[in-house]
Amino acid sequence: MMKPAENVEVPSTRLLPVDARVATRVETATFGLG
Amino acid sequence: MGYTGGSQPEPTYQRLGDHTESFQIDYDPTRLSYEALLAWFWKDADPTERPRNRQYMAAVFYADETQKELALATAKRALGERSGPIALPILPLGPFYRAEDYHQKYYLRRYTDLMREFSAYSEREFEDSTVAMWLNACVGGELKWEELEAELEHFTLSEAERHQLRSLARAALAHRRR
Repeated sequence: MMKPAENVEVPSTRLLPVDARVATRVETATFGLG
Repeated sequence: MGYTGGSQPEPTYQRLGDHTESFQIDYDPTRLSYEALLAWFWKDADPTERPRNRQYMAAVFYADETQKELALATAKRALGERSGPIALPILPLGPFYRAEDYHQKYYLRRYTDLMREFSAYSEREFEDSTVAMWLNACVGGELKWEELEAELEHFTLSEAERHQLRSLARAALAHRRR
């Protein structure tokens, strides 16, 4: 029997397109609302 | 959306203490610079304005020295020809406490037809969702169809996926606040 491959990323169908893609690099900016 | 800048641990909307209502933007620096975000911020903020109260205070919370230098440099630029000190708070970022769920994607939450699309999301996934951000901006009148189309161009999507997102945006724009 074939073993399932480990550490294979399966695209999520639970999330909407775009959200299912993971950003490679993200930075954060913070502001007070005023 | 959240609370930061104060000393009280675990603030809530009802028990804000000395925190400031704030928002955090996660962005891809290969597509958008911190300086561009600051330029957008200074369009509405006056660097000479002293805060009137702590809860609703226009402020920059910098995460590191680079952000601090850029915040100060762009504040000076925003001053233009005017003289006078920079009074708008430019402060180091401390702990950021997420606001209660109902503060997140505030406009979008009113529309059950659109919210149904996120039924499989956790609250945190919804909060961090790019699609929810787009739709929230659509119903809030902050994002136009052409701008959304341009955004979609940056993602590798199948025709079916593109169609799905366009349909959602169309529905959101139909709800647009007058």
